[in-house]
Amino acid sequence: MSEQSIQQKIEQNLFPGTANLDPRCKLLLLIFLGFFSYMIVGDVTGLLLMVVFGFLVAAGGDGKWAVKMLVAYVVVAYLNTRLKYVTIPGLSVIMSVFGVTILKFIPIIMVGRWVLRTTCMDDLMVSLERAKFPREITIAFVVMFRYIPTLKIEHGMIRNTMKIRGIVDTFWKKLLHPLSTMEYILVPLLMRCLKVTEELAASGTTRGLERENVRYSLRPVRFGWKEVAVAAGGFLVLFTLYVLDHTAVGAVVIWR
Amino acid sequence: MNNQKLTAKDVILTGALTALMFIISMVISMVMSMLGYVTNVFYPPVVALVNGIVMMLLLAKVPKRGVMTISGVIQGLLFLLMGAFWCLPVSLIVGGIVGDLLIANGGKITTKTMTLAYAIFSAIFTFGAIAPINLLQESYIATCVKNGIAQDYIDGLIRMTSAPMLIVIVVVGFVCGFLGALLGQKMLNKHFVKAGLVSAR
Repeated sequence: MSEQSIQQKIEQNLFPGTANLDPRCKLLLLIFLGFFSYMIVGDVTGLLLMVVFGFLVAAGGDGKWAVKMLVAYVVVAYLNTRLKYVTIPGLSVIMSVFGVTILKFIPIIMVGRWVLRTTCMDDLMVSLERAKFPREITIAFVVMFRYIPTLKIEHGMIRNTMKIRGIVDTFWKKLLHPLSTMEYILVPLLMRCLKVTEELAASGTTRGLERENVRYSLRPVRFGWKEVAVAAGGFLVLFTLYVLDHTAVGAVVIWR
Repeated sequence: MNNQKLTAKDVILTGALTALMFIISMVISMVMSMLGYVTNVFYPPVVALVNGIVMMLLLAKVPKRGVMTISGVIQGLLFLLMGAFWCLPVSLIVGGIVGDLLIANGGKITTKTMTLAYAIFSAIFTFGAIAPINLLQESYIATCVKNGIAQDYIDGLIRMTSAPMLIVIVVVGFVCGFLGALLGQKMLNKHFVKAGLVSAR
């Protein structure tokens, strides 16, 4: 491959629309969302929040995911209100907490997975470095982002291995035997972690992860006016919803 | 040997194991907050108990100053991204820094300083996770009521986090951190030293 074509490959846009925003901007939006998500409690405002951020995610090329989460939100919100009419001693308290937790997490999960999927780790690293984060934290943070999906795969593999050997492992067994769960799942997971990180470190070091000088990137990574506009817009929307929440709009009941 | 700079390999290992710690604490806190208010306030000690194994492995592999700070900062950042109240990330970062100061106190990292540092770290983490319910009671109750969480649950939480109980919880956090560190060292000896992944010291 000639140098030209490599450069073209790097510079081509992998994702459409809002997914090309600077990673810092996406993370900032996620922090704002997490901050306001627990305080916006009205039915209408909560739904509006989902719709606005759903559009953001859809504009970033993950429309299917946004629709799926929106439907999930509506279903959970509806079921949540239904539950208020039924009282089962003990269980209904648990269910109310469960429902609220899930409801508050859905917007965060929606935006979070989108950020995770549409952010190149190289971009994230460069942008964090330009935000003057120390190098140790940048590398560890990027590795962590990269590693969370891997952990899920590893966990699945360990469970498969357990199944082959005839060790049944269900959710209840995990709860009832915490010590054996730790030994059966955590210890193999840690072993894999050690192996994988060794390889990761070797491959990273050969590609210049340890270099001290300032990185440059072929793809544009900067916190320009677009990023400022989106971050400010996101904050304004959330703040408006928060204010609306305290007026009559927040008290409107849709789910009954 | 102790004040060596962290290499890329050390940092990558820290990142990966911190990811594991974060997932563990997420799962445990989710399960325990659903089971009821009594288990909800005691989730940080349980998290500390399990994460002790991971932290001890991390400290055994990378016995350098700065590891606990990095791990605390990154966990704090991720909790912030997941929408946790700001007290929790701050407590994790402060805990990491304090742990780091303690761990190489005499210039040498031993199992004893590791255990102590981790116990203090877990006590601070427990305080940061539970104290806001007590200190910011009014706004907390208002948010919960608006969110439609059952009144029994809220009353229970308030009762469980009154001043004397808060001290008990933090002490339990400290003890669980201590036990977690011991458990971690035991696991290390049982599995990792034998496999030759960690050298015994």
